[in-house]
Amino acid sequence: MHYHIANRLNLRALPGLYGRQRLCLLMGCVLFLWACALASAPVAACSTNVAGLKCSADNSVASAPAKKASAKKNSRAGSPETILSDLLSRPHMAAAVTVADARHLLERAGIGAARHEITMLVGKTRAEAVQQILSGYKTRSQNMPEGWMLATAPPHWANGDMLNSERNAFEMARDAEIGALRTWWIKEMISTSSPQTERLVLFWHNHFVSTYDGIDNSAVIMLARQNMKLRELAAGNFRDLVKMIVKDPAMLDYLDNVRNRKESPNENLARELMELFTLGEGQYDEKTVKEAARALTGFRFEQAHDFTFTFNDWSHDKGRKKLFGRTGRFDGDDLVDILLDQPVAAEFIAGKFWRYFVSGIEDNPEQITAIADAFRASDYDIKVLMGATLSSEGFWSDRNRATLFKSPIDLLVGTIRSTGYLPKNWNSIPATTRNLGQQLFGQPNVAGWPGGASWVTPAHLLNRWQAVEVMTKIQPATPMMMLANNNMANSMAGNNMANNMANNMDGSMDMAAGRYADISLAAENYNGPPRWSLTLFKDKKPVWTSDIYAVEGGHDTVLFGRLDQADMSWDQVRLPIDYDGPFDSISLRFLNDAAGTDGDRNLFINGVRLDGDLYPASLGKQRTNCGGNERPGAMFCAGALILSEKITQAAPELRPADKDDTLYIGKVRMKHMTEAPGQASDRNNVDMDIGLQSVRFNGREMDNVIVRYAKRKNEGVTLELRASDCYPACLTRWPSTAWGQESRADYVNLDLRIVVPLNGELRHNDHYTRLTPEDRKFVAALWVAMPEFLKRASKGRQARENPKRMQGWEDWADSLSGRLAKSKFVRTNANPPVFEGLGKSAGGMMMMSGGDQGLPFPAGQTPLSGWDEYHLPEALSDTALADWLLATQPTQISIDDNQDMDITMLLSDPVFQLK
Amino acid sequence: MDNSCLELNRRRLLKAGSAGLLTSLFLPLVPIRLAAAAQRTGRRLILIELSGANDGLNTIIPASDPRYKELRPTIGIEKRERASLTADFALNQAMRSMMSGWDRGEMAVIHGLGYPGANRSHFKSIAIWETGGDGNRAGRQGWLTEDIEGLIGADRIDAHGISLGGGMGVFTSPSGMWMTMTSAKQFQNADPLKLASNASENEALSLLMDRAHTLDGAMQSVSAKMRRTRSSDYRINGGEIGAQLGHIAALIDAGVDTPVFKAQISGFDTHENQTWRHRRLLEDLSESMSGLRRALKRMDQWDNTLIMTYSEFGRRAYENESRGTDHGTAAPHFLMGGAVAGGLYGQHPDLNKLQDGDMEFTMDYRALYQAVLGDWFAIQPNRFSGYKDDKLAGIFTS
Repeated sequence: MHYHIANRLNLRALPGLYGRQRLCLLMGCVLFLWACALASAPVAACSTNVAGLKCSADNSVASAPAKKASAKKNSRAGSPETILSDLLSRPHMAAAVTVADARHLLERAGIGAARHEITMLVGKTRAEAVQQILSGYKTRSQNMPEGWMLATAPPHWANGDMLNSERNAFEMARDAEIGALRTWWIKEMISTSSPQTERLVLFWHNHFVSTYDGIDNSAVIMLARQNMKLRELAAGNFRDLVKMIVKDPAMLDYLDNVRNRKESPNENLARELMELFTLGEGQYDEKTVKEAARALTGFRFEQAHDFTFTFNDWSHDKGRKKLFGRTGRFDGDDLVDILLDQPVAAEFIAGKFWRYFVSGIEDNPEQITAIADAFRASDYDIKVLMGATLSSEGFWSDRNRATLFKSPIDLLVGTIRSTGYLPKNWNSIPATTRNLGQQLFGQPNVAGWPGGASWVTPAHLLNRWQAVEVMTKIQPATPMMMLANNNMANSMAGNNMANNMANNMDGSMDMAAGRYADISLAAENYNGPPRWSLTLFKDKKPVWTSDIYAVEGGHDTVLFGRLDQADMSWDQVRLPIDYDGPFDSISLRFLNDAAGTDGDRNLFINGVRLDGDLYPASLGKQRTNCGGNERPGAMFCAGALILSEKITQAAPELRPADKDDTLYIGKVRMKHMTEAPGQASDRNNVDMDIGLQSVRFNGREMDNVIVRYAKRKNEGVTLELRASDCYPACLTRWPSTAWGQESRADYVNLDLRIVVPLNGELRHNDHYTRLTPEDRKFVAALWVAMPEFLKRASKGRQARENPKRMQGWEDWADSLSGRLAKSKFVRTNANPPVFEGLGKSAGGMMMMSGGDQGLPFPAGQTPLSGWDEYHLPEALSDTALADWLLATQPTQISIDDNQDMDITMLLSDPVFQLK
Repeated sequence: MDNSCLELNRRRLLKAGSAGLLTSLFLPLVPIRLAAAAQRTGRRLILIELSGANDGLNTIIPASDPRYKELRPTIGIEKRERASLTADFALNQAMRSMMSGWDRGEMAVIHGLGYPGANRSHFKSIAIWETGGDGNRAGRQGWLTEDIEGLIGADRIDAHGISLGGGMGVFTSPSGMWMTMTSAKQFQNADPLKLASNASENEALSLLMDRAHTLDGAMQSVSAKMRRTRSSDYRINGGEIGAQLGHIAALIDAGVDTPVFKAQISGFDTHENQTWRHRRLLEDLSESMSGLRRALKRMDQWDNTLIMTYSEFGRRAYENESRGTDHGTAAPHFLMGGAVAGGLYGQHPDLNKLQDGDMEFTMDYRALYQAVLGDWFAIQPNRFSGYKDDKLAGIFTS
């Protein structure tokens, strides 16, 4: 069970770098590349040595080819810069910005409006203010993505062979990740210095909807990557954005394009691409939907190959399609170009911008058309679109102030940003916005949150008021909150990559000395929060017991009903332990279970970290009054969770050098098997796919290798490898005979296949002869190990569920042993394989690394430690307080006395629900 | 209190109407509609979502079909675990408490409900069922919201719909009084919003204020009714679903006026070791439904109540290797109520003609929606008029 986190991380998900895999041998690369990316330097220039190991990255950016169609039709186009400067030089843009104007601009273009942000804009011209917003867009988040967001995808492909306990752990890890992703994004929104970027990411997130519930196998990493890509392109070019999204694995999964094949087209993506993404309803007929679906056939992604987009030539319909008066052998990229050639596309997006940024009450058709014209003229430059919107007369008109209903994100994140008051329970914001109808990555359907008046339906109205009120009453988080009883820990040490690095380098734990347990927990409250205590045991005797603590920031089940586990807000607490002796297990007790007809009190534990070891709840044993069918860590009844299995985070151990020509394998999975030869009715065409996790061979390392052993009518007994079944690559070089087609620069074609027969007379023989000597050794080793693979796979789920088939394949392997020894493809003296095991943390059973657990104080302001600390800046202290916080005059309070006004009263005024 | 807030809304409606030329270019900024065309019948619908996808074949067993045992060699329901409905069909014995409803002709089973282009994702398929869509597109609004919002006469109404459990997907609407409550007593402790009335020129603000007033009125009305009622706690067996239906019984008893209620029972995703889990779920479901039936009979509300189950899809006809069943397509559903003409409706899918191991649906589920809207609520025409199916003719006695 030894595993060191600084093991190896594949770095392919960095925004802007996707398209080809690259390997980084040290976590430091992630940090380093991220730093490079933030510094906006070309990534290739960042290649350097970190801690003595070479990091490299190629700089092919996937969005580059998108320009092919854009250049051809810009007869009326101007450069985005000239278009923008024309827009901003209109007479009404010369007016000076007031406090109310600045708040208006900031709240609409960004999230909330902080005092220092307002102060910076007051007195400038409107044109200067808008220019300032436009020049502040970023393509990277300010907070570093969490480790798992940048890592290789967990082995979702192995799901089918996982035993129940493994599956539970795997799913719990994914649920923890979606929770972490939601919290990470909320944190970014609160603390970023570029709220305009997050505003646009949120807009596109609701324009190109893909949800956690709506994608298969809880593949949350696809959503994390999509979010990073949306941020990269948010203020770029709309054409790039749409072309990215039709190749985005989360979208291809969510809108079923993985099922869109030549033989059986699925129209879902094609329809929404037109109805929701580019043209709007009624701008195309049903025949066009069918034709568009044909163009999108074959756009898929590879599971075992780290969810890479792939263009599947075999399932693509290469025939002619008729689209909007044009005929040709169009594919998905061509389709996007054709759609964006329709004038209505710019009009459609401009209209949506108007309703999102200008007015929720009335359209102004002339102004929308003017915005659309500028957008089109710039060939879909989103900064131009934004600039045209923010510089429209309508945007600045009094008539359109306070005409948008604040979304739950506006209401919660916006209030924190506007006031600088970060409530202690900020990490419950994802659950609160969900209760108010805005769950991130959880829109009700592909059309997204309808927004507008739908935010204030009766089901949500009361809770909106309560949410703001609760926030003003909860204690503020303060930077000094560390230690003592039950405080939010500043970091979950070691569960954090940055800290790992620090720890590994200087050998010390962060922060203060002493012994701590870092505990990750969540709660459902009912008549108060759950209480818990922790006891250390040695030889079944308690050696130390903590005080009793209550969980903070739990979810109120009386007000909001029960939660799914994926929606939990996890809290990290650091418990000081004044005991120096040894222990062998940790017991966490849930003490005060309660439930009624109107609610339920439950405690959820994700894991404990102590002495550098991680004790995941999923490996624990649980005894509660419920009877024990729950997953460990989900405590619906009083009882104890006992943790003794741990994942040790030791310093990188010195592994003995690998032997030459030897396969080292973490885990063998039976991914798929037909009936065995001799069992099947069609005896000439049977196969089994054996999946290998964590493979090393002669200095090469691979996450996944799936190898197919088959009996074919023509070839006889064969071994088959497909490029898309290996990550990062199973061969050092693919023989040219395996290439199915020309690879296009913008499509990753992974459908390369080699077939190596056991007897060497047949037609695919040439594959083998063209392999490099190194790859021949690899193939030979895979042949030799096959009987051993089967033996290992016989403990898996597939074998248990299909014992007859399994027996058949094992018999077959036995019968081959003579031939295996003699075959010329096998004769290389390969050693027997070595099976190392994965360690329970690998293989996606744990959420690999949490992020920085620091508090997300809004950028650029001093956090409030009480409402009485909210003061207007000296220079503007004679302005009306209401102008800083409300979009129009309050309805419930008189604003005569600026000085004595209670800010929380302004926050509870109905006008505060608007922006 | 109620009247004044209704008054407000009617005025609001007029106001929006006159300004409509300018403002109605786009939704969803429409006011809550309480005035309507179709006449109210005083009838109500209680929806029960079987979340996770219920296994129809082990709920309503095709007893006389020899294929059943071949498809379900280990998890099939044995003869002694069945309660006979007709010569050909039996109910899972776990649901025996529903038999008195069946015997009195108050329970209908509709066979083989499904839709073209079956989607096997829980999330996507429940969205389809709740919005009245199919495989090629989900709808954007709850399947009944528009028609129900149009239904209400000038009568007093507390809400268009109240959900006691599960998602609000079926109540998705930009307008209307669709509420969620975690218990019947929830509003008793809630502070009213107490907003000073405000006639604003700002349409967003006045819509917000109107809604707040309407909600306030509804909450006050509901909690006033709950205070007056004899017992606000109806003990109905069946675990969590029993508790939800108990809240519904209490709200109905208190005179809370709502045409639609929704409850949810989850856990039907029985991929593994299905037998005992499914049995417990069906027990909870049937005990709570019969408990609600008894309660409503006592308060003389049974004849104007219709209970209907729905689920995202059915399960595969073939059992899997883990003694469970995987995601499938067609499934039967229940209707229960004093005015239901009991019996079996529609046709059971042919077990000899499976499509890749799945049953083919024999009735579009929207035909059932048509019957509920058109025949139960007497809304003609309605959103699903095009799906009318004669096999459901006469499913309500009046």
